[in-house]
Amino acid sequence: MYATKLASLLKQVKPEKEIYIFYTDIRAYGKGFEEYYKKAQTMGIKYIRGKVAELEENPENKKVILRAEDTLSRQVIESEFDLVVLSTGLQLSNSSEKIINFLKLTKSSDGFLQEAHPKYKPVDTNIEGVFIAGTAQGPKDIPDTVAQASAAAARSMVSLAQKEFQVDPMLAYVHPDKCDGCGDCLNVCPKDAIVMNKETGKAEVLEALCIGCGACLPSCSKEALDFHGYTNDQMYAAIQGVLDQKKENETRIIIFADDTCTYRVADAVGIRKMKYSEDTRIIRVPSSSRISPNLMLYAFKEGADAIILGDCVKKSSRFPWSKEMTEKSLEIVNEKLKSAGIDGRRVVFSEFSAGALNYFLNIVNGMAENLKQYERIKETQRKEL
Amino acid sequence: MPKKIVINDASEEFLRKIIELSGEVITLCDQCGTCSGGCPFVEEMDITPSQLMRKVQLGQQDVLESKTMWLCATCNTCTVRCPRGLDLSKVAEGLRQVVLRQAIDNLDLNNYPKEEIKELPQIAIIAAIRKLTS
Ligand code: SF4
Ligand code: SF4
Ligand code: SF4
Ligand code: SF4
Repeated sequence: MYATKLASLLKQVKPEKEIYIFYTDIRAYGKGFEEYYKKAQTMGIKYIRGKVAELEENPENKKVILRAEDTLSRQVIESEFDLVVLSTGLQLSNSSEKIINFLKLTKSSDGFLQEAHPKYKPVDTNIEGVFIAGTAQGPKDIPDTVAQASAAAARSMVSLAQKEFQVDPMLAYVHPDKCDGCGDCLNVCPKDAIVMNKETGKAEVLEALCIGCGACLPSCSKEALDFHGYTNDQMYAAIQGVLDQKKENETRIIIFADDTCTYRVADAVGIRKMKYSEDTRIIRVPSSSRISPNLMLYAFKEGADAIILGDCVKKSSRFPWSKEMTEKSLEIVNEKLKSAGIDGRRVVFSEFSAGALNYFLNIVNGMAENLKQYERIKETQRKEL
Repeated sequence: MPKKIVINDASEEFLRKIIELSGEVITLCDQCGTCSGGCPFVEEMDITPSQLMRKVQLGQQDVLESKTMWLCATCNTCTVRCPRGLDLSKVAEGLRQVVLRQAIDNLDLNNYPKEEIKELPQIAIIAAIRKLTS
């Protein structure tokens, strides 16, 4: 659209200039955009549907020879132009990098700042109290920028109006009696929320910084790090609970389903009454990285035959580091399984998106099918873990 | 290999001329194809009405060799349907004018013996003069 704008401006000043816009698709999506495009055509600006393939300088008159296909008439155009202007796509400004690193904001795969949720939290970021608006979040025009900036301002007022700052209760915390101050958990948190309290000599989670991913938990071998709402005790109990009823010749697949994506897709699958292996048991977790190797091994010990760790697709995740950190835990688990002679393919990590129902079914049913091929885990092997 | 389109002063001039003769803003045509889809004569045409529009937009003078503008019956089916409000029959007329004004088949009565003219139907002669001289 901004090519159309610049062309219109030029045509207004110099009507005698012949202007051609080569495009692949006109996306005049906003209010009044279609009219604007029509106006440009009325002014005599010509639109050729086709991407310019070649540019070359004519050595004699220094003009640009352009080659492209007019895909509407399926004919090739080869003509000279006085000036060729490249319409580039918008990118995040370079100077933004500094502030991104400083605030530890996340970028989405398109290179712009990632909002906390594309639909429900379009101006929030992963960090409470930091909001985004305008072209920092994605290419947009002036009215959209103003609207988004107004929304961000209004959102910030919600925080300012509160006498006390409220945080989500689902956060990591430290059991001071279990913590021996070894410091293994420091530097693990991507948000730098864990610090050592110099006075007590024990680790501490700064609740204002922690965003509740749980990725730090596997780093503490003493299980002194814990998580409100998904405590270690609760997790062990949940695992035991889902394996309790397992009969002699049955199998059990445990899905550790992250709250945002995997749990929702499982929910949607259930609502649509789509069938998946009845050997499956789902345990909800804040993110797959919360599940420590100890918990996974405990599950196998207690009778699980397979584990699926589900998390959001990295590029749209609130916790983009989750995959990497889960895979670290998986390595440890795989080592242990190997030494007990258990097939490592029994535990997988997978990225789910809340709408990809069939993908969820494929992964779960695929695992159930595979289990039939593998040798059953012997009790002696389970004891070795 | 089909002929390449060349955009130059001549092609621009051709487009300008057809716009002037037809009074239609031809650059507005979006190539949606509604005109061709509904034209009752499209099967007889060598290029469709929307192709004709595109050729004019690109200033391709070979459009004058096409049969389409002669087959257009000014039925105005396309005119009422065009989402850009273009009257394609006027464009066809503009193109016909360009050919006619070249006076290729000009009927000059001086070239015919008086006796022969007397034999010919009067109405046909007048119609031919009108049509072929424009
Ligand atoms: S790793 Fe565990 S024990 Fe060590 S400092 Fe951190 S919380 Fe304390
Ligand atoms: S839960 Fe996540 S954000 Fe909170 S301290 Fe642990 S790693 Fe950091
Ligand atoms: S006006 Fe001419 S081009 Fe249009 S539908 Fe009728 S015959 Fe076809
Ligand atoms: S209907 Fe109108 S806009 Fe569509 S192709 Fe025909 S002339 Fe062009």
